[in-house]
Amino acid sequence: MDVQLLFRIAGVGIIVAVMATVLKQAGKDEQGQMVTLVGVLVVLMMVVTLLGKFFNLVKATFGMY
Amino acid sequence: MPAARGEGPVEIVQIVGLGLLAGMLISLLRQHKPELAMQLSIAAGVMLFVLMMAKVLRVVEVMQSLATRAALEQAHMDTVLKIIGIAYIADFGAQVLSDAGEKAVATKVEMAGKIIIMLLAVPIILGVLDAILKLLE
Amino acid sequence: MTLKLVGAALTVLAPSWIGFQIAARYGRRPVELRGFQNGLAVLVTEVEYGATPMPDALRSAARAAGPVAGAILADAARRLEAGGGITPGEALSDALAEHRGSVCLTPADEEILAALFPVLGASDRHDQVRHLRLALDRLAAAEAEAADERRRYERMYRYVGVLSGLALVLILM
Repeated sequence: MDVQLLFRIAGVGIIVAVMATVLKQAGKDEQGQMVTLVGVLVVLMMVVTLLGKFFNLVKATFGMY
Repeated sequence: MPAARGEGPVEIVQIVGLGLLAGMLISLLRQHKPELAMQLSIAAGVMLFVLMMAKVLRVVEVMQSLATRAALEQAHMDTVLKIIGIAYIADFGAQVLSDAGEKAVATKVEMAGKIIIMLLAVPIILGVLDAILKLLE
Repeated sequence: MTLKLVGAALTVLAPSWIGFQIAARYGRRPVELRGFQNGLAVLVTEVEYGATPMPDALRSAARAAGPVAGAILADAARRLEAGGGITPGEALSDALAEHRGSVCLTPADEEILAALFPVLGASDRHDQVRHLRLALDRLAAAEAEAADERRRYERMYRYVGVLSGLALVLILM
């Protein structure tokens, strides 16, 4: 739960974007899309864990169970 | 928890810094991969919310102690807190969605939040009505 | 902390290395195809005007063919001289099969050579020269294709290797 996660998501995003561009330039559009998909899924995993923690925190704070 | 460290002034610097940083990264990412930019903005939003959560917890504690001092019914206090929590979460979801350009879904989420709040508030409303009726008699 | 850094460096380096290896294969294929063309061109003159014995012809072809193709041609000459009653075609096929691990040719490239080998030293001069020229043309076409692929994919595989290493570090961090 700190800025590192933000950098991690941004880094994965930038790397995925560059990789997709490189693959597209080489004419491998499908692989580029796969890379994008994998990147989105990986980031989604991180974000979903974060969201889960956040919701639990809110629930604990306001005593809603 | 970061809140244990800096108090007040330090906190706001942290939050503004985090927000600016996230904003820069998101706008950088949005040109190439909008779907990832959205996830990044969710993460940034969650972090900012969480940073504030420690403060909110303290406010809640203050409210609780006030309620006990005013001899309010504990059940009502709990309902009010739950309503605040639901508003918090529903608002967060709706904002993220409208950021991502999904205005229609955002409206539905907000509506769902309002309906659930209504439902939770029914006992309180009934209590208020009872009190008014009792006064009128 | 230091251990983490070392691990991160290794995690970046390993996929990068794989990427560079694949890129290097794309870089080596046109060079090898060119080497085979040079060797076969020498072989054409040897067969057409010199009528030299096959091992000697292969040896002089090997000298012109550059390192990789030259090694195969020289190996074939050695096998031929060692005797054992094998034809030049068999010697060349065996040599190619043995060097397959160190050669970056595609199955299609090997098919061109495999179609040529049985003819060498097995029919009259005109027929051999005709087949050699055909193989030269096909190799030239394959080289053009290989150069095109190199231009397209060499840089891409390098980038993809390095970037996937970085992504792996970021994800595992």
